[in-house]
Amino acid sequence: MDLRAAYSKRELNEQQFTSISNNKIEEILKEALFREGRKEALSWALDSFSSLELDLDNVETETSSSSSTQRFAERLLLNVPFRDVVLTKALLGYFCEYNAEKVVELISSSSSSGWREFFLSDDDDDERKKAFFQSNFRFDGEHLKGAKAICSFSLRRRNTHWHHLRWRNNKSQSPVICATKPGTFCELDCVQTLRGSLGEDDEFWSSEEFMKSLKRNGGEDAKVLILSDIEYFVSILYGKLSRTSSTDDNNFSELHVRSYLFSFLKKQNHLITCQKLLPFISNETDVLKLANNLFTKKDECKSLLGCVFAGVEWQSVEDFVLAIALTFRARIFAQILKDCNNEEILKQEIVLIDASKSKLNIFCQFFIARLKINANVLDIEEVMRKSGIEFKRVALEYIEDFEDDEDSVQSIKKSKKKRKKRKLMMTTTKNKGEEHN
Amino acid sequence: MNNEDMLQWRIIGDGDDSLVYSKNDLVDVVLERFIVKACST
Repeated sequence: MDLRAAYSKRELNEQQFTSISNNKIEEILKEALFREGRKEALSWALDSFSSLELDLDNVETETSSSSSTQRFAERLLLNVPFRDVVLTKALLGYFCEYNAEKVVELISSSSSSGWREFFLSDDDDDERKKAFFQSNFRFDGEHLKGAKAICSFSLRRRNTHWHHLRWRNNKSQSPVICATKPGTFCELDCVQTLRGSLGEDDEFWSSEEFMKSLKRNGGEDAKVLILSDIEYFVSILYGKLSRTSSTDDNNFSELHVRSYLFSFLKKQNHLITCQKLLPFISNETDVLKLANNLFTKKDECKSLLGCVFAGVEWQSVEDFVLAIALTFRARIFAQILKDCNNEEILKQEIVLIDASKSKLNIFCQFFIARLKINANVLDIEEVMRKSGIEFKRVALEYIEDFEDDEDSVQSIKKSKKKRKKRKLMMTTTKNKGEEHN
Repeated sequence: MNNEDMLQWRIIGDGDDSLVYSKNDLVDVVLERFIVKACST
């Protein structure tokens, strides 16, 4: 490649090229980058993680068997620690929202059921109780959901638990009556029963009957319950992760939750994962950690993505964000600089920039080349010619003749659209003419 | 519209000769190629 190409004679006469240190160039670019706001600049860096799914396969990875999303999930869980409360809760919320059936599994495997507290709020008009228990007693005896669980559980454990049931108007019913006429359960005071000793009994909440009611309808009913109060389930799971939960269950431990989260993230859509989680990383150094650990030092760069992420350890968030701006967002960053005063950068002699020291210097060098090309100080054709890239100019009129060229870039489509529009206008005009006639 | 807006380019020997680039796209493609080459050497 040769970037000494073609300063126009006019520019050579007018411009006095100067040379400043690499650090000064980086400083100028960083100042311009962060001028609009640090958050905005950081969002570019976070967005770059989203493109991993598309490009990761172009990077030769040490463990080629693991998919891009698996690697990202692994690195995210390993490098962004659970001490980040905001991010951890966002992750748990994402888990509850997209994997409710696993949440049911986890909560139900606890010896002291989280379901009891969920249903036993002080509010008698709690819609959750109504929707799952109260509203599902049927006069024909075909009870549903929680109602069915109470009936089946009480009948099966009638010797030990029947006295826990509370009836309306204190009119108790016998198990025999209820077994022969199941509709009699409609007389049950559901709220008082649940708030009484039946509700206090862990045996009911961990019973086969209650579990069955949660799994009914393919787990959809349980999903609705979880989605109705994600915050509650997040707090239970967070208690386990932060080890503040008082209960000690073999089937519902910190390790279990972590393992569920890992399996979940591995299977999720990478783009959605990025959108749901990355904005919640509260510590900038965690972003840096993630960027520096996505690939190993043995990984090679065969794409722009590999250049930015593989075999490099960014020393600061600012360096990493600048690298993103100079590569993935180069076109828009150049546009921003065009609006600012970028004369000082345009005066830099590209070949005098020492690009041997770091990747950031390489990115700076080519970014300045871009600025010069945009400002017509440098000629792209001559750059290609001197770099041995063969090319052919194509006039726009010529392109319009390629009707079936599917791979043409957007501009061709636009020109086709314009032509079609012209044709349409002509047809319309013609039709109008016919109408007039 | 200036003269450059009326121009597009094909890179020859690129595998897919049917790809036509506007100036902005061409700059992206060429510079990306340079960066990858510079980083891998």
